[in-house]
Amino acid sequence: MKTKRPTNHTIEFSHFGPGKPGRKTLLLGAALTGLLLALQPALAQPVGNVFLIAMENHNFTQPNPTNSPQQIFGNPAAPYINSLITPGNPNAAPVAYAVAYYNTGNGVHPSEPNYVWAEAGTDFGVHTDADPLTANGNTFYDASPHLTAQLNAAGIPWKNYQEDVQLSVSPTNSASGTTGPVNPFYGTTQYNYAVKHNPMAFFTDTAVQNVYPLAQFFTDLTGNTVGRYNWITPNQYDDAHSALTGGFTYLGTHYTGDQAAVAQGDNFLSHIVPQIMASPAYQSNSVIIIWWDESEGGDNSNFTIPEIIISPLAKGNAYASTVPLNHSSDVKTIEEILDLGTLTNSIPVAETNVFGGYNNVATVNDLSDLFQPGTIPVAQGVTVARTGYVFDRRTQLFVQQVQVTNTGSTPVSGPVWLVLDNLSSDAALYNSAGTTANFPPLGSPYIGVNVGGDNVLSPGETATVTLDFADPSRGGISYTARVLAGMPTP
Amino acid sequence: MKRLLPFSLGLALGAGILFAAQTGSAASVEYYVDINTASLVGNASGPFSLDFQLNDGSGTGDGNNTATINNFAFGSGGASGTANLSGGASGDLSSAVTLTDTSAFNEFYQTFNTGSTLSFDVTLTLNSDSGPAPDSFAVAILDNTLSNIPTSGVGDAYLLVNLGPTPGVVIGSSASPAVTLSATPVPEPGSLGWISMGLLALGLHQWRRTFNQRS
Repeated sequence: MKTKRPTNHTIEFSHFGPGKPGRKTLLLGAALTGLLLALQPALAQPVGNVFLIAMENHNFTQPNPTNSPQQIFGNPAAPYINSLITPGNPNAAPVAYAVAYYNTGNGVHPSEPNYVWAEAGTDFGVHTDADPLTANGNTFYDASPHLTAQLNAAGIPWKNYQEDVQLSVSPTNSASGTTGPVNPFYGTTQYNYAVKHNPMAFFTDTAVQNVYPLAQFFTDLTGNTVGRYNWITPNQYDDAHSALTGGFTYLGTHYTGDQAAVAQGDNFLSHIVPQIMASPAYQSNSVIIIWWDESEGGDNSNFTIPEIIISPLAKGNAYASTVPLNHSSDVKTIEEILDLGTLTNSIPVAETNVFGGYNNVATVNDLSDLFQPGTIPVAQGVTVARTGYVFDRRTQLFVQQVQVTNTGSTPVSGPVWLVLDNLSSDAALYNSAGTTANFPPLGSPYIGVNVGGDNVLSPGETATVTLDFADPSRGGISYTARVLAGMPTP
Repeated sequence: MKRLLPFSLGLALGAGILFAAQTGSAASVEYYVDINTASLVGNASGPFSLDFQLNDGSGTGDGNNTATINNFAFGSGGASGTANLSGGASGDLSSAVTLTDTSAFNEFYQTFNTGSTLSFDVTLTLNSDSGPAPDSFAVAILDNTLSNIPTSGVGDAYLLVNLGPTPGVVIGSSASPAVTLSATPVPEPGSLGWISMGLLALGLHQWRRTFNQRS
């Protein structure tokens, strides 16, 4: 009778018999070597849940710090926020923050387009604060890809917590007044829910999906039933948008006007952040992102926006990142953390932001500099692998093969374009299909990637494209690869 | 002592595998390259030239990789003419050819008289380049107009090796004239030595156990 052939390395050791010292010590020696092998690459820990708290209408820094609205950095009405970004402060231990977070694009104001941007990586060129209505022109995004639709497609749970949302009416209707229940953060009956601060409300597939009042958030924290992705919008008093009627007394100081709004926001964060941090949902290597919507006073590098992350995986001790960032950076990072494909919605050329790798989700800097090295998975979604260059004397062209692979878990719908940004000046893409005219950087040559008859780059699928370069000087070729998908032409 | 010996054997075996794995994926790799050139004999497109390139992926000419080609065998043919050199290329088909990526573009080509086969050894260092494109080594055959014979490979090459810790090999072939190439990795003596040492130690231990049981 034939005996089954032992598999793997047990074939060497099976002769020694169980329990004998020789086998154990031999295995120990080999195991030690195996351990040495295993220790060679350090494995990064994945990020758990994402909590994003949306704040309002204050710069992090501005040319004149005390011009109204006053900046957050160093503001006496914001002691908690400033404690988070002060190295050595105990509150700052799990914190990193950005010092070069800019308005997401030129003219992206007022609030609403920034919230839409947080969901879609663009504002579709619509600049209004109106509630979503066809008549208002801000409900036409229905068919466009957006973050929570991606989460739905991937089966990833998400929740949208909106303080003061009136579910008895609709999450797509704003509501404010003075006869609500006593607010647990500021102790009055004033309430103020604004749909313009609810990103999902402008996409009909998710407008009324997974929307909860803020009280439910604390119940979910206790029950460990939050989503993997959690958007939290305080009401317009707690998000520092509006001052309470009568002002706000905070830590013994009575503030009025916009400084009251700052104090209200600081007070809100000082309560909600520690509660999140105390929950098991946070302690599983999760991240809290404190996000502000827009710059006040200018869309340039003189006006930075606060962006703070709190996580066991953050660089910590108030690490200050100088990497240029904007709202697309948050979208990109969340997609990377949750292994989603990259959003490629069109951005109006007039809204180009020249900072932070521009403001396309595909090319913008992500938040990885704020996290410990290796925490944020890079190049998730689509990767590009290149061969070296070969000079073909028959065509007098340099040739390179490029493989575009969908390493994510969601299909990438075509057409798929490979864009060559920053191509070396003495080289030209001979078989270019054109140059970018809609998706900055503009003027970059691009070529179509054949993804097959289904016009989809499925998860795990690789498509190969051959690039022909003219390089008469033979001085070398370099470029930055960018993959765009889903638009007629880039 | 009895407990220590098998432990050290385990270490030796593990170390043998570890070193074999590391030496096999780091410093260099050697290929035996064999090209069927029978269809080139008497072909009107001749005389043909053998073309080697070692191009710098970063485009800076960092000189961090070298290709050494030797042990040429031309069947009934042989090297002829003079070598044409660009960038960091040197040598001759009658002896050995060396290319270093000291320029973005480094090329060697020289005419040869065709026999039915053509073979040589190529040793490539496997250092990674700083950019996203690797350094690459390519083998092509040029016709009498110094144009590449069209192939199914990258840039009409018969062989492309992307240099890095795990080299990537792309083989091409041509239909007219029909030419095929094979590239066979040659195990490094150092790797074989470490594996042999581990296996020898294991065998020795088994022999000792058998001997002890009999006595």
